[in-house]
Amino acid sequence: MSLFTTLMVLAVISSVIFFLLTLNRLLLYNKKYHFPELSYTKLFRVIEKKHVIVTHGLFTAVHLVFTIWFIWTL
Amino acid sequence: MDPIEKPNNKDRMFKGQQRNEEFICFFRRHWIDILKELMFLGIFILVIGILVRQIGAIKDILRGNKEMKLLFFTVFLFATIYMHRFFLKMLNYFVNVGVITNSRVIDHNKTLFFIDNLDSIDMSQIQNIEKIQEGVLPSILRYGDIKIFLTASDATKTLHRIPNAKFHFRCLNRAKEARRRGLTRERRQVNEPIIQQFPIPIEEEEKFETNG
Repeated sequence: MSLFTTLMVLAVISSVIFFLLTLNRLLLYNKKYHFPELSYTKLFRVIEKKHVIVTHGLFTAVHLVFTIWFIWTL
Repeated sequence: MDPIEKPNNKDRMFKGQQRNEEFICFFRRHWIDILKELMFLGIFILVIGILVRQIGAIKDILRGNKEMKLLFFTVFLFATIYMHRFFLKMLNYFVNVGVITNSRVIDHNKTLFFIDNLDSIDMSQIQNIEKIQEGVLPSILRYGDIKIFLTASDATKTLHRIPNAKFHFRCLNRAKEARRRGLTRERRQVNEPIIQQFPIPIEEEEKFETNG
């Protein structure tokens, strides 16, 4: 495996680990704080924490798949 | 069981809520705080979109070219860091809250990882509350600062960029007044324990009044 591939794999693994850490911290936060979300406390009256973390997970997954595909086809 | 026993609110809405503390509302900062981040994300997605469309050409350039591979890796790394930084900032926006209860105001300056500052102000310590809403954007988007003046010292506490500032200003004022009234009532009860223990029946009270 070339140095480039190794570095790319390391970067993407770190990325996934960071996402999991963030998710863990958010779950810990949600255990301690359960404020009732109303329309005026949401971002643009729609977006909540769960939407952000799901989008974060989606971006990380796409990032992972894209990187694997890129290394595979290079 | 005592029929007028108050419900136990300990840790009900947030960790640290007192037994007799009633949660009124909570607030986050206005979205203007993260507008810059959202705009940068738009640009980031646009650039990534363009690069993904040109991925075939990029692969051709990278094949057998070590310097370009290093450059690509650097850009890739920065893009990854930027993506996570953006989501972290978004989540930090959600966990950074202010809480208004019947007995105090809590400014919880928190991030997911490294900051966890709590500032709690007792309602009875609040002397005056000021709402500051100056400028074009605050007027249109209805956000502003709320400045709290404390009785014990010259200290002030400012809550910056509160959405719907007028509502939270009213909410704080009402809670402050209710707390003050409650404390006055409690003091009166403490000062008149004998009357509380042996209340004079109304008929006898009227007799006293008619007899002079």
